[in-house]
Order: sequence, then C-alpha cells, then structure tokens
Amino acid sequence: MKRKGLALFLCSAMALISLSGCSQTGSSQAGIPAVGQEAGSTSTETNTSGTVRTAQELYENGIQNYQYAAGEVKKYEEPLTLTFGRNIDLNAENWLQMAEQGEPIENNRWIKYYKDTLNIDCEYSLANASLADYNQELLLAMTSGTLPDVFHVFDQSMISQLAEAGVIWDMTEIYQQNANETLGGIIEGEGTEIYSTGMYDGKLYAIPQKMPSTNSYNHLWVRRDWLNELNLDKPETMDDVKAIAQAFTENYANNVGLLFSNSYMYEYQGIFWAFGGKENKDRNQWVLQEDGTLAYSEILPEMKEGLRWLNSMYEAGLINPEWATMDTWTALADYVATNRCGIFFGPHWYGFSLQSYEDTMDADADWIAVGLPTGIPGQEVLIPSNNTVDGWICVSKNNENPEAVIHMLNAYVEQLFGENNNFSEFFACDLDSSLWKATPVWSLSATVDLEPCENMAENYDASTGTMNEAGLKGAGATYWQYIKDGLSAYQYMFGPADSCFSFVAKTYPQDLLWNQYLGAPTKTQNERWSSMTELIDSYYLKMINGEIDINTGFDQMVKEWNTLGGTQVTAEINEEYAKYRE
Amino acid sequence: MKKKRKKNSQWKRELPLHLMILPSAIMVFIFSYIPLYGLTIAFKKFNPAKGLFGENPWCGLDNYAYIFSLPNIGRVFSNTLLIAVAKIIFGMIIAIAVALLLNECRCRFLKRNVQTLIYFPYFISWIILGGIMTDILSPSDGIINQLISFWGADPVYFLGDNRIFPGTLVVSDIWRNFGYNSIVYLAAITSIDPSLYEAAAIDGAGRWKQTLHITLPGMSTIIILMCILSLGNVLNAGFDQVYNLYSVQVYESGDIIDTLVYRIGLQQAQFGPSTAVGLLKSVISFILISFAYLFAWKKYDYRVF
Repeated sequence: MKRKGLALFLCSAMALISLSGCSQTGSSQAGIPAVGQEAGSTSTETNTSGTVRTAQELYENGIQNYQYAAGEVKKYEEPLTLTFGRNIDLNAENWLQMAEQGEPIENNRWIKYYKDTLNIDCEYSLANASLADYNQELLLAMTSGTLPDVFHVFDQSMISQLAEAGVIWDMTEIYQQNANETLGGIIEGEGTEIYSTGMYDGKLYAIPQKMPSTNSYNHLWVRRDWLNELNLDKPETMDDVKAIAQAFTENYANNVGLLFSNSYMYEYQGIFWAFGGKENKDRNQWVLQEDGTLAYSEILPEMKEGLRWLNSMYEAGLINPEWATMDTWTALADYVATNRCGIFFGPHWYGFSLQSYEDTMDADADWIAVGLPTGIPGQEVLIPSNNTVDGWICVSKNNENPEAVIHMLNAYVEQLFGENNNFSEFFACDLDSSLWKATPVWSLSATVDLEPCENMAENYDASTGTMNEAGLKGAGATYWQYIKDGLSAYQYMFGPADSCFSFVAKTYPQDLLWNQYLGAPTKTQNERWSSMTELIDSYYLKMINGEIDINTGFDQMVKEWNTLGGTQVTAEINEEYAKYRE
Repeated sequence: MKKKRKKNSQWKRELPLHLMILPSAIMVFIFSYIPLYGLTIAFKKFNPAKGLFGENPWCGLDNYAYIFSLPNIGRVFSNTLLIAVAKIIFGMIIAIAVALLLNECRCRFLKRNVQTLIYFPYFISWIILGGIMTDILSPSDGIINQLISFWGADPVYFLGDNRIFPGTLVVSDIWRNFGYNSIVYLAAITSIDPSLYEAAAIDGAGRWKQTLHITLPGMSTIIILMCILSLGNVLNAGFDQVYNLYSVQVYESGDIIDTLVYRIGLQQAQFGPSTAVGLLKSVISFILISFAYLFAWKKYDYRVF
C-alpha cells in the first residue's frame, strides 16, 4: 500500500517538477492588488458596454468595464469545436492512471465541464511531451500554416514573430469584452503589468496564464536530524550556513557540505540574495536604479559579496568539488539520496525529490526548509521575483471564434476560484496532483499554494504538535491528510511549520522585489543575449573557483558585457520602459 | 537500320532495370533535392510564422555577418578544426594499427572476441556514454581518478580542465569508434592475394617486412578512400559527443561550431543564422573533398567514379 502511494507521488512529483520548471515569467513593478479588488470596485458597472481600452491602458489599470460579472459564463447555443496545442505528456503516469479510471485527458472532468457549461468541444491537435519538442513542432506548424485554433507559446519572441506575420488575433478588445470579473481578478492578481508580457506593437496578442509568483522563491533545505545530533541551531546567517556545512563534512562520512552547480542562477539565488544580490532564476531581472533607469541585476556590484562567499566555500572545500561541470539537480540529487549532503539551496518543488529518495536516505532523515539566511547581519533578505506566467495563449486567425477561449478561461477560474467553486474536485485528486493542468487552458490564483499552508498554520499548535482538524478547509484539509498519510513532500513544502511556504507566508508579498521590465526581448537581446549570459557565466565560474580576482575580474566582466551588447540592450530596455511609463 | 533495332532491343531489355531504379530516384529527388529550396533561408530574414514560402525579405549576407560578429567565433572555429583533425588523424592511425595487429593474431578465438569487444562501444549512443564518462572521469570518485590517486598522482579534472578537455574528447571518440573503423581495414587486408606473402617469405621477408611491403600497399586504396571521405568531416567535430560532455567551464576549449549554432540558433528559433552556418560548412566540405579527390586521382590514379 505504502509503495503504491509512493509510486503515485513520484509521478505526480515529476509532473509538478516539470510544470514548475517550465513556467515562464514576466514581471511586475507595482504593489499587488488583492485578488478581485479591482473587480469589486467596478461591480456596479457590470454589463454596461463601456468603451474598450487600449492595451496600454489595460497595462496601466487593468480591465475596468467588465461585461460579464463574476460567476457569469456564456453558453454557446450551437456546439463549437476548438483544436488546441500545448505541451503535454499524454503518457505521463498520473494521466494514464486517470485514463484507466475512465478519465482520459481528452475526455476528463474538465473537458466535460466545458461541454456542459459552454457547449464547447475540445480536441488536442498538437501535443508533445517536452517543451523543446513542443516548440519545434509549433515552429513546424507555423512554417507550414497548420496552427491549431488555440495554442500555448512559451517564448515571448515567438509571440512577436506570430504577431508580425499576422497569423494570430489581436486579443486586446476580444479579451476585455469577454473576460469576467473573476478571470480579471486572477490574471491581474499580482499587478496589471502582466499584460505587457503578451503585448506586441502596443496590442495584446497573447493572454498570459497566471501562476503564483511564489514559484520564484528559493529556500534553504537542512537536515534537522543532523542539526540535532550535532547540537546546532537553525542557520540564520550565511556564517551559520558555512559553519553547518563545515560541521557536516567533519562529522559525516564522505559529506560534501553545501551543494552547488554551474546553474547557480537557477537554483541557488538565495546565496546572492543574502548579500543583496537581485538576480532571479529567469535571468532577465531588471532593477530600478536611484537615477530612475533600469540596470541588469547580474552585473550590479551587490553580486560580488555572494561570489566572494562562494569562493571562500570552494577554497575551504565545503562545496561538491565537481560543481563546475554539474548542471542539473538530477546530477546533484545523488549526494542527497546517499546521505552525503545535509544542506542545500533550492526551489520548493525539490520537496517531491526528497520524498522520492526516502528509500536510500537514512530512516530518520528529516528535512526542513528554513527561512533564507542573511549575509549582512541585521539586513533583511529581499526576494527578487517575477510576475509569473506559465506560457501564453495565442489564437490562430483561422479560428472564427477567438472569444471562445476567453469564455473557457472564465469557466476555468469560476470552477476553481469563483464563489460557487468546486476546487477540491477539480484542482487535484488522489490519482493526479496536477489535475488543474489537465485542461487545454488554465490560470491560477497567486495565493493557491500559500493558502493551504496558512490554513494549516492557523489551526496548528506548535507547542503540542497537534492540529485542529475541524478548522481545515479545501486544499489545507487535503494536504494535511497527505501529510498524515506519510507523504513527506507535502510536509516539506506546505506543512504548518518549518516548511517552504511557512517562510513564504512570512515574507509574501512585502519582501518581494519585482522585476521592472517584462516586455518581449529587445532586438539586441534576440541576437546577443545568450552570448552575453555565457560571458557572465564563465566569469562567475572563474571568480568562484579563484582563477581570477573578484574585484578586478568583476569590473572586467562588466566592461566586456557592455561592449558585447550590454550598453545597447540596457538602452533599448530603458527606452521600452519609458514608453510603458508614460 | 539494323543498328537502330539493336539499340531498341537493348532499351527494351534494360527497361525493367530503369523502372526498378525509378522509385529511389524519385525519393532522392523529393527528399534530397526539393529541400534544397530551404537553403534560401540562409539569405533571408526568416520568420517561421510567415511560413517557408511566405514573404520573408532577402537580407543578403546579414546572417553571415551576424555569425562572424559573435564573440569567440574565431576560437570556436579553431576548436572545431583542432578537435576534428585530431580525431581523423589519430582515429585512422589507431584503426589501421589495430587491424594490422588483429591480422597477425594467430589465435582465432582471441581475435574474434577482441574484435567483438572493441566493436561494441560503437553501438552506444553519446547520450548514454556521456553519463558513463561523467561518472568514470569524475575527479572525486571516478574510477580512473581513483587509479591515478592510487599511484600517488593528483586527480585530473578530465571534463573540467581547459588544457585536457579537447584530449578527453579525442581519446573518448577514438575509443568508441576504432573497433568499427578497423573492420574496414581488416576487410581490405583479407582481400590481399596470399600468394604475395608466400613469395615474400621465399624471398626471406619477415613478418615486419611483409607488413610494410605487402599489407600496407595492399590497403592503400582503402586508406586513401577513407582519407577522402573523412575530409568532409573536417568541420564536424561531433555535436552529440561535445554537447553531452561539455559545460560552461570548458566552452573555451570545447565549444565547436555546431554547439554554438545550437545555442544561438535552435534554442532561440533563429533559423536564418543556423542555416547559413550549415550551408557554409557544406560548401567548405565540398571544396575540401573535391581537392582531395583531385589529388588522389592525379597523384595515385585513384578514382571513385
């Protein structure tokens, strides 16, 4: 029984990891209006056919004249069939299991729900397992002119290409005339700037699928059983982290200390954040300077302290020696699985990974996620973040009902977050923890991961370790059941205390530092960005392993980065930024 | 009159043969000649959304200008040449030597088993070998470095040291391919007339003299052919191998044209520049092969056609 449960969760873990990994991000600069706040303020005006705003106004203030109120969905009188393209692994184990239970992905509860409420039939005409394959296939469909009616795009420059070629609908008006208040509230949940991620030439061509920005968090994972054994406290500063790594290497056989790899920007941002670094895993984080212009986070001097700390760790032999040629978590996870590492930085979905190594880890291995430590005593850690998007929805010009997909989104958010929602039935079920993604379109509330954790924390008595189960509701109750069933991933990620989201609850949203530029890549970025990123990578690498001096090396890197196109890109970004700001 | 009839009957007789070749000729036309149209992308500002036959504006040599304006492009070209040439030369020498040695081996059992064993790695893809290599070459717990430290030397960072990485590439490529390549040479050796050896033995030539004066000259046509064929690969340093073994750390010594084009081109859907490089590589390979063929024809009177 236990083994079956484990297998089940391994596969859902895979699904979740892949989904979290591929979420694309835009960004936001303003504060975050509460979900539905804007909707509430205009509820009296619903159904008055007010003027439609330009994409620029949409970006500044969001939808204001809703023509469909919250809870309102439009049912088509004649049945309508839409074809969809999305990256989806039709052979993923959780979906195969669902199919065995009579719910194949092509005809599951979501598809039936769209049919019943909207009279829309959905078909997947383009589906591929991996994002890279999907992109290739989409490019082929683009070149051969066989695009599906509605399809997902995961690359902003592709939106520009499609819009320039005139093969997708300008959604500016269609979106505003058909979105209902609930949908607007979800998509604008972390700021209306999100619209500029789907804009080209001042028009909204692609609808962003909102994801919680809490995905861009980084967490520090520590083995509590080892801390207790060695009488160590939970780390609060980067010096503590170093001391713990030192203690672990000295006291446990073959221990490597802190895990690290050359994809440091993706999984270890916490190290740089501790010293005031402002980069993000999406590697396109732009920071507002005192003079009002934007600068690229990875060339700012704040990064130096993080590099220095890493260099000292490397010299002291406290990080895995082959980090320079390791680039994936899979390569590193072996250290964790075989009890050779007890402390590392990583995103929250590594919790699934930790659970999957239970068989090889010590029986009493007990992981906790602690709040990000600071490198400068007394200074709070800021979390550079993006207004996260999981791909964009584009509608092909061949589709005569471009508004239909907006109605599907309306129906989707009503089912999960509306007043009369069926969240517990449609978000996840025991066979499939990513049921919410088993639909052609989706969009999640910014707090969907945070709420269950907060709900559990409110009902949890830390001193006795007891839970007031009567107070649990929705996902909180489901996750608590999972935790009681021994699925440690849910404890690691969403548990009431010492979990990833208990740290998020303390810091979200006030400690977030929003990315200031979220538009499509500029011309020079399209041509040069990958070379420019590689330059930074190779310099960082040499500074960390001590091949070049950090002070002179960093200046040299900035200089070379600027000549390579940095000056040009910064100018272009600032020009775009000024345009949006007007 | 008579002649004409003869020609006619010959045509009739050969007609089935022509018909038999027709399907393959059509296939070659469809799959090898029609796609040549795609080469125009190399000179266009290509937007995939407009379609292959859409109105993509011509841009002259802009794509080439872009490729050659990339930083490190010179280094990438020299890496490619160095790695590819080293693979060709050393790979060939070792394959020939192994063929000669196997030929001298008297024990059939040993010969056959060795042949199978060295042939085997050729069938493992670089994706899998990449993982195996990373493991056995690891400086901390890889088996090779454990041997090295057992003998008292410092561990070597085969996949992370810029001075050693190209060597690692060449050696691992040879290790994978020499068994397969030596088979061609073994076949060439078996086709040598045994009476030549008998005559040489009567004249008092030992094994070494026989190898030098009979076996090697007997293999020379095949060796020249393999040389000519491999010249086409001077700009192919082996994408799948390098891509599975390299990392940011060794871009300096291991980045080759194909991996660079992959990173800037395919990952960002820039079809124009990647087609441009592909075309450039083909043109250079074509010129090199032509020269080598001409040389072999004039100098050794060796002809393929």
